[in-house]
Amino acid sequence: MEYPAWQTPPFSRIELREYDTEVVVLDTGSGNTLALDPIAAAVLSWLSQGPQNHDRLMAQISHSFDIPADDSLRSYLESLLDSLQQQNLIQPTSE
Amino acid sequence: MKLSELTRQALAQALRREGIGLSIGPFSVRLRSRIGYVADSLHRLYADYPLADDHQFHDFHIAVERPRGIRHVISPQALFLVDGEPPFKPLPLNQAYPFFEWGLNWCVAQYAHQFLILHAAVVERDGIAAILPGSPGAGKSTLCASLVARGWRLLSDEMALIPRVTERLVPIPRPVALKNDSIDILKHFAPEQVFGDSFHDTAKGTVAHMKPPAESIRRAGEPAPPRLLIFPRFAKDTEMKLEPLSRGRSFLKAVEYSFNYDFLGADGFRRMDRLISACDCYDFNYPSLEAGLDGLTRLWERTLAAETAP
Repeated sequence: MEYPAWQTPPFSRIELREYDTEVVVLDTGSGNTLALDPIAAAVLSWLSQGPQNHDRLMAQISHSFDIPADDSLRSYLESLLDSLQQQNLIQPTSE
Repeated sequence: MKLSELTRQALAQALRREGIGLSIGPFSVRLRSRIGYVADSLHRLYADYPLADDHQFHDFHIAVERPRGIRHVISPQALFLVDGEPPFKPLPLNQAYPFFEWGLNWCVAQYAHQFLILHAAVVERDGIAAILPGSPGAGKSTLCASLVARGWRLLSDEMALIPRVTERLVPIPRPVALKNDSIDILKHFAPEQVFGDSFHDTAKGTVAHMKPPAESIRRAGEPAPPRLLIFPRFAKDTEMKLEPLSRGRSFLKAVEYSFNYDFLGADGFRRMDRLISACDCYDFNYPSLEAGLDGLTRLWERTLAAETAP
């Protein structure tokens, strides 16, 4: 299965603050402030620096959080990307 | 010069003619009014406020006056004007003073974007400022008034002002607005305090104001470091419960109580971060004024002990 690459919307900027196990994020594009778990916040931060595809994100999560890059991580990532897209925080680069 | 140096008659005359300038925290307010209720309440509740120089810049030019036209003969009304324009419909004449207080709140929330503003009471004791954000009915003003009556410094019963360059809270001490049952509760709890008239049948029910302590007015130029962010909720028939709240959740909750967080964008985010990082945060349910005071006093003692521990 071929996955699209993802990016944050143009002109959108992400600000992050970490508090223990929570991360609060401001998306300056939408003006939304929301709390994310650390993995979601890291993914959003990476995407705000440039487009990345699914496999690359898998590898980065696995490396940064010491999690095996298996099917459960793949499933988690798909669900996370879907959730971030629904909140207009990211978009596929192919669109 | 303080307002108390004017007699009631001299104050009423000045309000009728050129108006008076009041220094209220970081703001200078120019107020005119020909309405006796306004002069009466100001004379009692603003006695300790410094009068601003006639020639200085005023942040807000406010008038509380009777509307023009014949209607006021049948049904006397008061109109709140800022820069000569009425942002609201008139209210009954006998509500002219609370109209001034509500209108001034609106002016600050609407225009003072040099501050991140939270809808919150703020009190301070021994260098520990506690912020109590709350929706109407949460009991923040009642708690605030009782703490102030027990010696805490009043920074505000309505607004936490967070400036741009520091998290230190800027005081804007004003008469504490009490509503309905809390008026008699406070009069019984702190009979030594000065209270203004009760105004009945307002949009908020019966309202009355407690005069702020002279010491809080005198120290209105001294910002205070925030250490406690407490979300109070009054609920009869419950146990008192003080629960630590994570900073992430506190951040989102505080945003809900801000008047202008969205307006300030990334700057508001950074100010909120500084505030949250400086505070221990709690949800606080309390069933009575005594329980509320007791819980907050013990929390303050713990915080002070931690701050001063070697």
